[in-house]
Amino acid sequence: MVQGDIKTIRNKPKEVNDIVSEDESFRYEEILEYNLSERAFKMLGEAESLIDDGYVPLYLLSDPEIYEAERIKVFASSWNFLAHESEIPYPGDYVVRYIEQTPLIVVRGEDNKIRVFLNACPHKGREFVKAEIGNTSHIRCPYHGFVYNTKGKLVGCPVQKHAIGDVINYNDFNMYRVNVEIYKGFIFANLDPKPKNDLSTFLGDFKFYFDLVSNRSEAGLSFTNPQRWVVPFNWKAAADNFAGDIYHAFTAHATGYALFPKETIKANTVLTGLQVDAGNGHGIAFSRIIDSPQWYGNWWPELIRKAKNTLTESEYKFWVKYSTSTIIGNVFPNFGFLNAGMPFKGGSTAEAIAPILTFRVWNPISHDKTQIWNWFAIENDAPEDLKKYSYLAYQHSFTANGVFEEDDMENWITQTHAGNSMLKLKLAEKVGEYKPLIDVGAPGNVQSYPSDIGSMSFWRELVNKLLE
Amino acid sequence: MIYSSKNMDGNHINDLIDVLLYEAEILDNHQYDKWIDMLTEDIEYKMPVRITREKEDKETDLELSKSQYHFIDNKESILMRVNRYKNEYAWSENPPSRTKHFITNVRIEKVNETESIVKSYVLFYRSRRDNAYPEIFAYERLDKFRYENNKWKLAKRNIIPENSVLPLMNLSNFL
Ligand code: FES
Ligand SMILES: [Fe+2]
Repeated sequence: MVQGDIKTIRNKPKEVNDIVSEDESFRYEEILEYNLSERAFKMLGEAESLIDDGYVPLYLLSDPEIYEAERIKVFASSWNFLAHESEIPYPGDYVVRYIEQTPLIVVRGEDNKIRVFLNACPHKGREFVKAEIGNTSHIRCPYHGFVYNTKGKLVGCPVQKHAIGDVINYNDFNMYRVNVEIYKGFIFANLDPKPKNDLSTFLGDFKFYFDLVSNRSEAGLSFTNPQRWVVPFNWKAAADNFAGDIYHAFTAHATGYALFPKETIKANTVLTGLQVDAGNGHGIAFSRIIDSPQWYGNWWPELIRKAKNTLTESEYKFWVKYSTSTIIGNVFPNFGFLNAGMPFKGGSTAEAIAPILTFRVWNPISHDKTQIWNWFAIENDAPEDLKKYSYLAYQHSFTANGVFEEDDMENWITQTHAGNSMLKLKLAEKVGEYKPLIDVGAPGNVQSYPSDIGSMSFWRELVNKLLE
Repeated sequence: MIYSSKNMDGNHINDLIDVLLYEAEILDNHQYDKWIDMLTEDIEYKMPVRITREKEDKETDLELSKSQYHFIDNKESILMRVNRYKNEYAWSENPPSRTKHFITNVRIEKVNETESIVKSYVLFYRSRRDNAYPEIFAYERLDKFRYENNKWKLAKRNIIPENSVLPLMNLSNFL
């Protein structure tokens, strides 16, 4: 279903001579300096102790200086999700992506290896590619015509002898490379030339939970093109929500639930769920309606057998027992996902709910603006009718006009707006604080639903990173 | 500016233009039931995601995603959305958006007793809450109308957005 598009391979232009052997660019650059001002340092110190007491100062959400600090101290040194392998399935395929506003090219090389480069030419900084997606054997800068291979190596330029001769340090002309690591098909990049930890350590205990959406079938997932729209809220409002706010659903999404067939909603059973602080700022929540993997059980019982082969034994046990209806999570800092049953029109009763899986990046534009990147995903080997209905259920529920998601925007926009206040607003994210942690045979700190534990873990990690 | 192709039945052309203007009026007045009445039972209502691509032969075609849509609706799903908007807890439309659909560059490509193909440009203007500055979004409509019970009804609408990134905080209005 993904990538029905025509491929065009452009060969290296004839007038350009080979000047170096085609090996790989290993050129990485340092990240910019950032020193916290006295003001920011004081605010973050206060935030740190407030968070220990279960409060979040609202200035963390909207303050422009905090945003400036996040650019370098959070985004430039975290593993950021950029794309899924299925978006660039063939050699030469590329997509243009961003970490905050740093423009990047994610390209599958002729050798099938995925690399990430800065989308900026080493000669004068012209952005190479303005298309969002494409296929190419070489990257040619439209400014002066330098040509690079998909491994980031300069392979030629017009009138090369007269332009750069042969005394030059060719490495100066190689594309800027960015560290990349892939987990279960999910491509993450880290702008830090020497990342403080590898992706596996960064995800840590969260891998246990992320597997439940990314690794249920050996066939892997397939992503659509992203839907993108710009909303006037700070990215952290969405991260806080996806890291662990399932509590809002029945109020904020009252009209969404009203569209479910009556027999699928029984308030007393819906209120069963778990909330998790999985460490490193990653949060996730689970809720279930009945005791079986209901949505997949109806639509694709096979998946439950398949998952047994790909998940670890404890992951599988946990998935079947606890995460059968809704999974909502956020990988620190700004990579959210949701797996839920949603209504679509065309079926009846229980079959009118299809499972959906969506991934999104809350891509920050400024302290009060975010570009939402929203992908639909489904296992490659899912039954064809499920693929169709799952897409429709997703499109009608969790998109810019989704009967659920539309109402989320209003929450995040108005939180951000309230953050313009001149007061040190102290928010009490204390839902569930009184409750003990429980042991469900899964990693992290786990509480019963409802709880702000996952959201608080996001804020704690944010402040840690900013003070690092 | 309204332009109609020559050699077509003048009455139908005027009728179709009236239909477009009437539709804009009821959409802007949130008269959803009247709008539903304007749709055929088998209405196909779509807006594919636009993708910025390098120039190729079949340009616009390539720029439209085959896997991702902003709208992909039929009558039932449109009714689902409409029923939601009628509810006071549909927070995205309470308070309601104030909108104007400006319809222009109308081209009637084909018209006969039963069917017509109408293309138009729309400038969608939206004001919400106390924002002084509106959201503005341009798109092209490729419409198919069918003549049923003495009325032109919308049977198909393909919305081609100008933007690859929507400049709207949500899409809580029909286009
Ligand atoms: S800026 Fe790219 S070749 Fe000069
Ligand atoms: Fe929500």
